Amino acid sequence: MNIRRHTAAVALGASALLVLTACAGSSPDADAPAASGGDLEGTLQFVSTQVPEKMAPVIDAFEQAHPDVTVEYSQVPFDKYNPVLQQRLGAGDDTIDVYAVEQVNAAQYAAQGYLTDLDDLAEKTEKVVSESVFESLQYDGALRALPMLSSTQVLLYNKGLLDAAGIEHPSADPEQRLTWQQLTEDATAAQQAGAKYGLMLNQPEAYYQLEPIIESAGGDAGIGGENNLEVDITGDEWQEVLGWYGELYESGLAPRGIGGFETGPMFLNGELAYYVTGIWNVKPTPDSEVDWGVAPMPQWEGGEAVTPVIGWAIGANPKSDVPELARAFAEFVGIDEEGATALGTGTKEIPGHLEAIGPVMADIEATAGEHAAGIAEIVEYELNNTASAPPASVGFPQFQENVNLSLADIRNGLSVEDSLEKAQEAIESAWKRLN
Amino acid sequence: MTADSRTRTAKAARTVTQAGGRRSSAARQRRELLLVAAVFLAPALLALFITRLLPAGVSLVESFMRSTILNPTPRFVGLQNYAELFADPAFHSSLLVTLVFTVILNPLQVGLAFLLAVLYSRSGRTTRFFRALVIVPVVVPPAISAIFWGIVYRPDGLANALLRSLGLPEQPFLTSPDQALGSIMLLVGWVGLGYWMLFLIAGINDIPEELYEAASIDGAGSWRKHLSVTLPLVRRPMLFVLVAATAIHFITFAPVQILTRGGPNGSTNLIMYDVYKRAYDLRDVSMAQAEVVILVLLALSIVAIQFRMMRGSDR
Repeated sequence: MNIRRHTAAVALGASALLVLTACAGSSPDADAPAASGGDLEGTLQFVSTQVPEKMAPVIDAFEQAHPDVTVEYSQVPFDKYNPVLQQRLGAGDDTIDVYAVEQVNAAQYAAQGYLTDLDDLAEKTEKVVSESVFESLQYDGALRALPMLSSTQVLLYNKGLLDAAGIEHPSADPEQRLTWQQLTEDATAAQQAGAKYGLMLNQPEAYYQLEPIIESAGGDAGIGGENNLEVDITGDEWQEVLGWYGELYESGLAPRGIGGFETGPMFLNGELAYYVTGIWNVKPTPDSEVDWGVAPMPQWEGGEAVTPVIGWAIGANPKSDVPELARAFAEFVGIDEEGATALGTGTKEIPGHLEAIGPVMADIEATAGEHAAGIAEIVEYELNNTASAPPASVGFPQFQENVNLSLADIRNGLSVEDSLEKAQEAIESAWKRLN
Repeated sequence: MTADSRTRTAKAARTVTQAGGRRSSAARQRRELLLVAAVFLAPALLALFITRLLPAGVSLVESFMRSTILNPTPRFVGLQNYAELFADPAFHSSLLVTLVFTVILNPLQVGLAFLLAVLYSRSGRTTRFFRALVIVPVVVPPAISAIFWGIVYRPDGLANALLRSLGLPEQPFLTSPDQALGSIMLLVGWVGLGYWMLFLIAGINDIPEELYEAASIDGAGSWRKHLSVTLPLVRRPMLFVLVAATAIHFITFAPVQILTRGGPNGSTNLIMYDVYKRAYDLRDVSMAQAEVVILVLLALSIVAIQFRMMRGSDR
């Protein structure tokens, strides 16, 4: 009997412990800061897609400026980033104080109530970012996020494979850029001379990479009209460019069934003659024997040069327990020159802050060595002359998701016309449920 | 009253008192046992409520509500989410793909698991070795299995290398609308086969040896014994395997999310992935909740049919 009583007591204790343990997870943060007034103090939770080492310089710089602040950083992989954020922010998660958001998604995050109003920083922000970036961060007439990182695409080429095929190296001069048609011919020649594949896009099924080519051919972003909630992706330019894109895979010049994360290693293994990729891949490659060079992104024959400029912004979670700290950190990363420079040199990407671009690009060119010769001039030229960002729209995630699925189908050999029509119907159907 | 009768009366009185004492003691013991059982069950019941019943209830309620990006305050819309879902061609396609996936994969996987269970239910060092090989995929996380098979199915992957070495033409696998679903079935089938086989081996080992001896005396051969003895007597674990496999196949997600994202042309857009896509890619949680409810009802209906069929064969 005594044993039973004892067992019951132990079980009761265990149950209570389980319940208490479960409850402990939701208890308020004991380290919550007592911000405001003088200098800041407390703990800040920051989330983005970058690996922690890349974010360390900007976090260290902020912590140095505010000795009583600790920034705890979490990385979420890019391909899971939006679903994870949607799930956590949607559930009212207050353990994210400040986070990176793609500029194209900022309007929707703001509409969902996931971004704090930062409009009192609008005047200061407007002075240090490009007009298109500033506009993309607005929602409902107010600034909702601050610029973080920008981007552009460049053409990398394998010098050895081009030499073997007797192909001249493309020029690093943006005024002398190749056309996509010439590039396709050269890539075919390189493949015939022994390259495993001729040409590959970094993110082969991404609207971000294909849309500038469509614009270069004379088309538009496919999204516009009232509140940027009208879609037209079935025009001639869309069909022409995506027909060329489908043919790359049909002919075997580029491989099907290869994901975006596999394309970089393929180039560095010497399997690709040409590789169109983001600035983030222009970096030292000590483990690769490939001798590579960099050139501007090509343009459509007879069209104008257009390059993509989708970037990242930084926003504060309205549910944060440390709103002043979150806002101060976003301000430091986004519109403080010291913070933006630390961010750019750490990530080796283009900062959104215009004054920080110069020093960061010089650093990138210096660390990437002779392979990246000319990258600073290319980036400066593209940002000033050819960069095109899609319009800010609360319907952008639905638009992008369906266009990307359509690109995947075209890549796998399905009809361009049917795929685009199907995507257009799906986008219109999804947008009907925005209200 | 004689001394003897007094003694008997006193004994009888003690017996009655003792019986009453034993009854009250037994009742107390029962109450204590119930208390112990309740205390031990409490964490499991609490976990069941928090992790299963509560989310299911929330899903059901939210499926009748609507909260959108531009109008995030939830409002009651009755069956509107269901009506719009049933009018959506993408949902019809997803439903069809899921049914084809389940209807083809279930009998194939369970049938093969049964055959392997028959083969590996005998003891022996070689048997144990091969049985372990079949079970290995079970311990690999689904995401890792998907990545492994993604490499196998690559255009320059292991599967095409094998076909080339046999002098056969290379196949597109995951990039073909005609082959992608079959490729996912092979992956999912490979992962679950060993797991289901274990349950069936346990069932086979419970069958009394005398029944096989009796069948041998009656002149039954090996196949006849398995058909007439093993198969009928392994019916209960088979029912469990069939029901569990059905439920698991209805919620197949990781391989689709990692390898095909529902394509090409929606050919692998299984309903669980469609739910995820609506909730997190298209940001339409209300519609996704309605789809979850339909998924659960569909799975329950098929499981109920399976129970009925197995009960029918009991008679």
